Parts: sequence; structure tokens; C-alpha cells
Amino acid sequence: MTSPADGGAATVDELAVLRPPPAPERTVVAPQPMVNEPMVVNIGPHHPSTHGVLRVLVQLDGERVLSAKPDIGYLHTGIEKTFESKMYVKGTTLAPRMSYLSPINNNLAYVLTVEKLLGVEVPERARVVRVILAELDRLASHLVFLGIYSLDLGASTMMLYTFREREAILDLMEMTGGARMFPSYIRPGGLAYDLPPGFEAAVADILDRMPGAIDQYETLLTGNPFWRERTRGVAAISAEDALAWGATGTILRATGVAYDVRKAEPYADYETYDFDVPTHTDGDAYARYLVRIGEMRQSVGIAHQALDRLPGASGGHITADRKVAPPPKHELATSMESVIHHFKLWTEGFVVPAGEAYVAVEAPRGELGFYIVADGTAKPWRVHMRSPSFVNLQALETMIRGALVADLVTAVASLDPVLGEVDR
Amino acid sequence: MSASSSDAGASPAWSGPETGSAALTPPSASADMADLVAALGDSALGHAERLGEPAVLVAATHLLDAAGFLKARGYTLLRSVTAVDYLPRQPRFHVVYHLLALPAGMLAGRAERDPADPPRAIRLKVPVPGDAPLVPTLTALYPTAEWHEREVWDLFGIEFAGHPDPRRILMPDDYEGHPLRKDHPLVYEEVAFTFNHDQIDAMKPRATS
Amino acid sequence: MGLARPLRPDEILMPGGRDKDGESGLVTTSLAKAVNWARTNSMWPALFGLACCAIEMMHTQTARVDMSRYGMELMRASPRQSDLIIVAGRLSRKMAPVIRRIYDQMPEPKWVIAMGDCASCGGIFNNYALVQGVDEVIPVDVYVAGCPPRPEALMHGILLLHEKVRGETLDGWRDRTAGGGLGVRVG
Repeated sequence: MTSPADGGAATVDELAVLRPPPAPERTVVAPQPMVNEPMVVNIGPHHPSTHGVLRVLVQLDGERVLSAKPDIGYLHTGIEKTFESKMYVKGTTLAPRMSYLSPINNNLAYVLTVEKLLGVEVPERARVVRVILAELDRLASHLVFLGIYSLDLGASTMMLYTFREREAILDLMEMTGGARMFPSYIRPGGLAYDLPPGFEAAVADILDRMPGAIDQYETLLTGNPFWRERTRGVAAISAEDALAWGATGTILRATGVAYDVRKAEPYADYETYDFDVPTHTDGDAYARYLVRIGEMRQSVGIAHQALDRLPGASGGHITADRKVAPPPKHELATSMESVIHHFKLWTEGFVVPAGEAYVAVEAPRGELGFYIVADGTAKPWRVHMRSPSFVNLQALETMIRGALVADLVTAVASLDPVLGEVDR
Repeated sequence: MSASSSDAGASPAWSGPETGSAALTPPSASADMADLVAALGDSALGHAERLGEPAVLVAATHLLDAAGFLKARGYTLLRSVTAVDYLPRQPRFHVVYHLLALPAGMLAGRAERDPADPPRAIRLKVPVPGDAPLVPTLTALYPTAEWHEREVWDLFGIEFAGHPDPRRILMPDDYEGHPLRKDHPLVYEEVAFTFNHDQIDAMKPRATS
Repeated sequence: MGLARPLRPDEILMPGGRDKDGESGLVTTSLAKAVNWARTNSMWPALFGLACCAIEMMHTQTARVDMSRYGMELMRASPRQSDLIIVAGRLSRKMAPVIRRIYDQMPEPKWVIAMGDCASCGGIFNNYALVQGVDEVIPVDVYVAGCPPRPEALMHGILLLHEKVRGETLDGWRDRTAGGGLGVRVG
């Protein structure tokens, strides 16, 4: 500004303040093409929809899955090595904790393998009860599948309905063996104790409720347009791929291959029961859902047949071979030999002749097999569990490649893995 | 293979039509075992059928030939690959393969068991020495072997030549040792009884925050 | 105020302590009570089901033994939105850093229930693969025994925790190591 001392004339320098500042240097950049790189996203191991501690490393191109690699081992419990240090009968507590949603079938597979090595005959009554419990176990497992599958997809009501029926089945398990999930009721040689009073009435009650309940689930889901939209065509796999990946159970049956261990390699008299094996041809998540609903209905039928056989079944609840099965308590007061057998069985355990065997059962998830190597002592040398979920999970990548990442949840839920048996 | 058959070596009972001499015998795993042994010649180190389960002992060098032979015979399902540690016996490890042949009826969607074409199960065992155990991979023939062989590597330390992804699968990646070997300890914390409980408790790490 | 230095937070808020107007702890005890009442009535669990105990935890949530009576049916998948972590199942060595991270991500105040034998002490699996008790990695408030514990047992454990919280001072949730243990700081 002019100062009075200057006499009013502004110099060039002073006028600089009035000039606007020079514009900053700016370069104009030509628009660049967008570069998309695939992104690796980690899903799990702590995730609400991964059915346990499963970690999936997904490579995404936008929303499309390029590859999905499951990373397992977060529940590895070293059970196979633990078996080697325990008596054979203690394996009945270890085995069901692997596949904890189908503990009876898991227990049955282990016990059948031990019995094959022992060469012991199981009385008919025990065999019939084993079938009843195995089918109720299948029902209980499929109820959890339905509930959690729906919960993962957003239909949370189903979980409350299915767990209502499951509570009834678990009450029955508690009645037989004392615990809701792991009664360890099936022992080498037969059953741990005889049936409790009221068993048959309780089973009949459950079997009466189930068809109506299954109808209720189907009403909610099968024709539901949202359900069909979310599951039809999702996570499809062909029969060749399923066999190549070793998938068994519902996944294989939903592709059209009717492989059910109960028909292929029957155990516990399954060849004498009359039942169908539901299959489907699409191989997608909706097909697996339909196959499981069909299996639930078949299970009710088989359990009914077994329940009808129960009154006429011969034999006790466990083999009479005292080298394998402990004597009844009342004998201990009178028979020295019983006391010795009891003592040997509970301190050392029964001795299994050397050999190896592989026996598989049809668990709700697929073929569940136990490979036991016995060395002629009271403890197994090696126990390996061929768990269905471990093998089925390998097929995940084939199912989900090219699909949207939101369908990954549907795929994992329809595979129905139990991480306990994946990691053992 | 019916699980209820107790006589070793017998084919499942078949009551088909009597068509006279050289009646068509249904395919059986025992017959497959005999054919495999014949085909392998010296590489078949042994074979046995106990408890109704045929098993062939194959040298590692001829594992792929044996598996290929069986796959051509219809054994399309590799059920499991596992290993057994026979320490201190030599050879230390046996890698055990269980294979299943599904009958054509089941592959086409018919679940009922056909006595003329029953499912057949066979076991292959490959003896492997304890130091530098190496076996060829089956992933080319049976893709499902991938995870099974990773588990065997992880838990036993047996390497599979040509495996596409030889990493640990169950133990943490930085774990040292192979847990299911007989010389690997089972526990890391002693079992607590009343006489040693306080001692164990004092040494146990505890998180405080 | 008559004090040489300002009161620390734990001094102001102790029941029976004096607040700045010289009043007795009536107001402050009521404050702690009110806060604890709010804390117990909507203690949101983080979804941390590992193994079999998770199934019994699901049974505790469903209709027969209903956790939502206590405001807890919302299992938050994100630890940042949860107050309570119910460690349901066996913790393997590979999973231990994960649970520590989840625990660290939870905002304070936070509580831990070790559900089941495996989470409490390793359970029936005393071997190389499992952490023998989740308290080796995170501090635990309530241990619920059972393999798996019945839903009623888990509910009892949760109610015990509520009782404990109701009796706490506002900062008292940090005090967990009452009784035994070397108290080695982990992580």
C-alpha cells in the first residue's frame, strides 16, 4: 500500500502483493487403463460360517473365485496317536469326539473294526439296537446340517425348529448311556448296558414326530424361491470329479452314483432291512439338500423296522465271551472266575490277536472307515480314521472355482464338514 | 466284499443260474489280487488275504504300475492313504492304500447289491525304509491322494516324489518333527496326579492379561 | 478437597470411597451397580466354537435353554463387538495364536469362559497337539467342566460369571488370577 512518506506513488515491488499468486505447476495425466489384480482373501479360521475352524484362502477376481484352498489343522488333536496308548475299550471315548456330530456312527465304525479283529460274535439284540441308534444319530446329524445350512444362508428360524427335534434324540442318547452327545454306549462285543426301561416308547415317540417335522422343514425350504435361488446350480460337481476327489456320501449320491456303504459292504445286519438310497443327478447344493431330506425319511423307516424287531431279538446286550465283555455285576459276588475276568479287563484290557482290518460304515457325511493294526497286545499299534469330511473338503475347490464368493458359504455348508474329523 | 464273510479267500456267496461248466464267476477282489500278483511278478513282495481282506505288498518302484493295473480293473475310488510305523522292525514304514471298485450298477444309480458284480476292496502296502523314505505320488492317477499324502508327510515324514504341494497339512508350518512316528513323544505335559500336581502347576505357563 | 494429590480412578470408584464432594460411596456404589447391571444383561458372546462343545453351546442358544433370556443370543462374529468369549472346544497349538489375537481384538471390559474339559485343562487329550488348558494363552474367569457340559451346566457357568460381574468394581474385571499359577505374562 502507499505510505504517506512516499508521496503516494506505488513501486513495482509493492504492487506484487496485489497480483494473484502464480498458478502451481500442473501436469495433465492421460487416463490410465485400470489394472485388476487378483486379491487373496483369508476366510477363517474364526468365521461364523465355516462350520468350525476351517480356513479357506480364496483368490478373487472381483467377486469371482479363481481358487479356494482350504487350510486345515486348526483342530488337530492327535487322536490317532492317543489311541496307541490306550486300551481298545477306551477308544470308544476317543473315537466319537472326532466326528462329533455323528458320534454313534463313529463309535460303531471303531467297534466294528475291533470286533472284526477279535472275531467275536455280537448278539442279535445288540445289533438291532445299534441300527436304531445309528439311524437316530443320522437323523440328529442331518438336523444339525439343516439348521446350520439355513442359518448360514440367512434362514435362521430353521435352526430353532431342527434343534427342537434334536433335543428329543439327545434325551434318548442320555437315557441309554448317560451323556447327551457321547454316550459311549456301543462297546466291543455289543452294548455297554442293557436297554433302560422306557427306551422303546421314547424311540417310538421320536419316530412318530419325525415325518411331520420333516414335512415342516420341507414346507419352509424345498419350494421356497429364495432357497432355490441360493442353492440351485451352486457348487455343482460331476460324478467323475467327485470320484476322482474321493468324495463319498451325500456328495457322491447327489451326482448320481448310488454308493452307500450300508448296501455295498453291509454291517450290523443292514442287508436285512428294506430301504432306498436317495440319489439325484444335478450334483449341486440343492441336490445335496434333497438327498439329505430323503435320507432322513429313509432313516425313520429303518429305525421303525428295527424297533419292530427288538422284542423278538435273541441274545443279551453284549457277547457272552468273558475275555471281551465284563461279567454282570451280580456275578462278582459269587464267582471267582468272574472277578478275575473283571480285573483283567479293567486293568489290562482285552487282547486282540495280531492283524489288521479296515471296516467302513455309512456315516451321515460319507464313508467313515477305521484301519486298525493290532499287534497282539491290549493296545492298538496304529489306528487310522478315514474320515469323510477330510476327503470331501478336497472337492471344495473344484466346486467353487468360477463362482461368486458368496456361494462359498453355500458350498461349505452343503459339504457339511465336521472339522473334528477333518483334523483328528 | 461282504463284511460278514468270515472264511478267508472265499468269493461272496453267489446263487446265480447254473449255466454249466466253467460257470461265470463274479469278479472278486481275491481274483484281482491274484491277477495283480501275477502281473507284477517279482515286484509283488507278498500277498495275503486275512479276515476277508486281500492285501498285496508292492515295492515302491512298482507302485504306479500296480495302481494303474487296479484302476484299469475298475478300482476308481482311492479310499485312504496312510502309513504305519513298525519301529524297531525294518523296513520301518508301510504306506497303506485302500482301494474300492464300485460296480457298474452303483455307478449308474442303482444302490442294491448285485451278487454278480459286487463292490471289491483291496489293500496295497508299500514297505519303505526308515532313513530317507520316498514313495512315488499317486496324484496323477487319483487326485484325492493329494491331501492324504500331505498328511502322511506331515505325520510320518515320508516323502512323495512328484507331489504337487508337499507342505504340512495338520501341524503348524514351523513344527519340527513328525508326530505319529513311534519315537516322537505323545505328551508335552506330564499327566497330573495328586503327588505331582503342584509341581506341574508351578511350571505351567499362565496368561494373566 | 483436602487431598494432597488428585484421586486415581480406582480410588474414586471403590465402594465406600469418597467422591469429590466428600459424599460417602452411596452414589459411586450405585454407579458400579448400575454399570454392572448393564454389563450382565447384555453380555454379547463372541462366536468361538471350536469343537464338540460348540454344539452344546448351540443347544444353549436354542429354544430349550434359551440364552437370549439373558440378552445373549446374539453371537457376534466380530470380536470387536463382543464382551464375552466362550472358548468352546479343544484348542490346538496351531489355533493358539489365533485365539490370542481374537482376545486382543476384543474391547475392554472382557470376560472369558473356558467351556468344557479341553478348554479348562486339556481334557482327555493330553498330547502334543493340544494346549493343555486355554488359560495358558488367555486368562479365564469361569471354568465349566464337562465333556461336553450340558447346556444347563454352561448356563450355570454364565450365571456364575454374571454374579461375579455384579460384585465387581468398575475396573475389577481385570482381576482374574486369584489363586495359583505362576502368573507369567504371555504375549
